[in-house]
Amino acid sequence: MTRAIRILLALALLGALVLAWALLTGSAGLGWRAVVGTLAGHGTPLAREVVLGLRLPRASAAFATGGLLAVAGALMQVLLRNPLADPYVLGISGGAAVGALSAMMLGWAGSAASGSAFAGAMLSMVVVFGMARLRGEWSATRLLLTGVVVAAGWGAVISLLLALSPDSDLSGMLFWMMGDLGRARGGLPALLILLAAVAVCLPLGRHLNLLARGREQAAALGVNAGPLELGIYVLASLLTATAVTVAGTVGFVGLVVPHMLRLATGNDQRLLLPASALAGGTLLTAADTLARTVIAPEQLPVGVITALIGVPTFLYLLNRGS
Amino acid sequence: MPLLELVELDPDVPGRRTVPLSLAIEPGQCWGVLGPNGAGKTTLLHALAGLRRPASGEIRLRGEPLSRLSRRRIARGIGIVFQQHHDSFPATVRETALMGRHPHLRAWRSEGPEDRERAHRALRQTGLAALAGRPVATLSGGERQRLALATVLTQAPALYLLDEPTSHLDLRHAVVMLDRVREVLADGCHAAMMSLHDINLAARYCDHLLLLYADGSSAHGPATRMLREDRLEALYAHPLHAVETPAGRGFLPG
Repeated sequence: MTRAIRILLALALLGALVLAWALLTGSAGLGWRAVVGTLAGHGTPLAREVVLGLRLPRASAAFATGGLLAVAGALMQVLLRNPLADPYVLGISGGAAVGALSAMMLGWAGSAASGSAFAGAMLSMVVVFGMARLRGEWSATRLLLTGVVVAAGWGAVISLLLALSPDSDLSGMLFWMMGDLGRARGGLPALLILLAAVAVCLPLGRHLNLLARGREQAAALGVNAGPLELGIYVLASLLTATAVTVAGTVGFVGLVVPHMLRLATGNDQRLLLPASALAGGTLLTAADTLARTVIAPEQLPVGVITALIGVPTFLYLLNRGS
Repeated sequence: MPLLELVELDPDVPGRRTVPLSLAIEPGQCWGVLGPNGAGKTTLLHALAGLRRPASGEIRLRGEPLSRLSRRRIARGIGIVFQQHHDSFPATVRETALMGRHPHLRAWRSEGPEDRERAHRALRQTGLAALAGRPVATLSGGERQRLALATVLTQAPALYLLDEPTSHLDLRHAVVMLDRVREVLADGCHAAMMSLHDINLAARYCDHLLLLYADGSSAHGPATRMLREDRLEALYAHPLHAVETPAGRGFLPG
């Protein structure tokens, strides 16, 4: 267990460093003394506005979103017994996108838009689950096929919405779909959800390890596979819906982070899930900080950066293994 | 009290009506299940492990109906070696054997030194100790099969169900594998039921046999009473010759 704790401590340290970088970086030109002073409670009004009003909410939202996506991806991979599954494979993000884009078309903003995205995700979760169970017991394959088909359906609706939208809405919509932390207003609720999810999953880690070996093998070794699978499905969907509501559909984090960690540390979910939370948060915070600085004052969609970081790392790890 | 009791059991073989089956597996017994392809050997073993609901009838583990026991309780009493193994994710041989401890551990507890020792012993018994650190994906079919036995030995249930445990094994490893099973049964507290396609291995290792016929009927009893040419010819719908050898009676296809 000491090895697991060492790995988690290293990841936590890395996460803290990246968070510090995110708080120190920006166009306002604040030195580290000013930032630390502001965090301690005595800064100028301008520094307070920049650090506490802009950078901290955005960095915490990025960290929470990345963690949520990575944990949801790890859970989906176990649920579908497929190391290439990601949080979006079952159509959750498509439902959320339809909700979010519809809200933008109607001119809604703030919590109405977030609520609409979340409602779309939940609708998708219920539809996929209902269809997969329509005729008796679900299987990983049937769930996957149902999810993929429903996701394709959402894709068509998204295209329709984009085609019908006025030009002025389009760039906001595209940013949402590539992932955009610019409109995130603080990550505290999402961070709490992430913490609660990891706390729920930890005692189930050994059960999840067995489930990854297949439903029958797990059942033969005393795991109540049916309820556990349903629980994972609902939990992973909720985490994905939360992440997507905060930041839009950021790609790659949910696929690459758990997979990278699995290649590096093995497939013990008791380590993999908390490590995914930390590494996912770290990766997305770093990506978002890059996204808002490389061509400042313009901003890149954060999904572009996660893909640029994720793809080469992933390819390297794959080839190193063999 | 029998270890496992089947009462008027119809295990629900797909596309087939089964004559309800009643038998009792006593501690110390080694049962073989013989029958043609599709007769329902695997379905029966899965039902006995509580992995699928039978169409009718009841299965009792030490007098208690399986349907009223938790999965964890069942897994401490009954272990099963599957015919096929799915390995979607990378894992080592050691980790795979250690899975067998799951039903004995509470949710928050990790595997301790004693659990590791049990897994290691099972790997030694199955000749896999030298491969403990290897990824499962690099094993041969026969090694994978022996690893499945090591996992169930680590699980240490009272009743071992084995679905064609020798299917990927060479002659020597088939004999070694079944010798291991017999060693486990030697203390008189454990029992085994295994499906086999090799009548001669069944004759050598099983003291009781269950014959599952293609028409859904069955026969069971002491091996000496079941291993008769006429019964086996009817079972496989193929002529057979019994030959007496220094190692006992053998059967050759005619």
